[in-house]
Amino acid sequence: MKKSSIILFIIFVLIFSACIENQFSNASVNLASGYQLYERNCSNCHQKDGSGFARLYPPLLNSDYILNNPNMVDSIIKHGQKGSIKVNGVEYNLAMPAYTKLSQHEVNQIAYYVLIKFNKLDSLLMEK
Amino acid sequence: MKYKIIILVLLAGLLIACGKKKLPILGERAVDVKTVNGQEVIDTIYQTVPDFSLTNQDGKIIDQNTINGKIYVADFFFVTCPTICPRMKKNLLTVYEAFKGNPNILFLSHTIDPEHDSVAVLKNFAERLGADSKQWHFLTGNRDSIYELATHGYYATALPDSTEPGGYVHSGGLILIDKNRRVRGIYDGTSEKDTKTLMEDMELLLNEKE
Repeated sequence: MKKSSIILFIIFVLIFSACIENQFSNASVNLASGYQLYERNCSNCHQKDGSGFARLYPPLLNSDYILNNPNMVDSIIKHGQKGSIKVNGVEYNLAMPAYTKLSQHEVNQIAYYVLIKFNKLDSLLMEK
Repeated sequence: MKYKIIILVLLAGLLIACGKKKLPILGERAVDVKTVNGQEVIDTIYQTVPDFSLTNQDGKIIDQNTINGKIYVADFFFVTCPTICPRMKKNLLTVYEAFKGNPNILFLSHTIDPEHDSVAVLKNFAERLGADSKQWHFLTGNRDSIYELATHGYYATALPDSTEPGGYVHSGGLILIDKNRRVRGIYDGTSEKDTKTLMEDMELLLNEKE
């Protein structure tokens, strides 16, 4: 009885640690490929450091708009954005094109990068 | 040791003296032989930017009279361009800031998507960029005239291409024109290094004697 519960406990710990490790390595893979995808698709306008440019392209770095709408990031990449928005007190109204050629996986990786790297949003916040 | 220093100083002096470069005149040229006072005179005719008539962000007509006697930088872009235009505009803004208020310098940014980039769209874009419409003109007009001007006036590429992000393929060149409407340099607007060279060359042109 005692022996079997110890075995069960060990198995449980093993599975748990495997999961943690897996989660960690996935996160770093996501950030690395998210970075590459961001550089290729987004940095021309929003800049490499996410600081934005003039009153044309809003910042993604420490953006109150993103902090208030973290779940909208992937949808904006996929469908684009039109109309006037306010980011950190500044109004922007240039349309952003929809990135229809990116796969859902790629969109997620970019969104992950923008949320974690530029806005320090914990991965837990991203779970929908 | 002493000799070495003297040679070094001489070399430096020589370099400074030779450093005053003159910008080339780009494009085709023709030779015109005229008879002046019974003598044959050979005159070189350089290719110049042809006459044009376009509308700027204030709805004002901009044509060859606007650029008469001015040095200017021309480029081709479109507002919804997600690729090289933002990088070009960022570099061009640096050039603009450096020559802001100089009455001898103008900037002419031509849209290659005039269907979308109306006067109002260009006005919004220019204001958001921080460009003054007295010195930096954002031009729209007839699509074919703009493409013709790009290709034959400024040696730039501008073509619709559905496979390109944004729908157009175009060169990222910043084109430097002198007071006589001649192309004196083409610089990669996406490169910070090339943009720096452009600014140095603009200074050279400003100081150029006729």
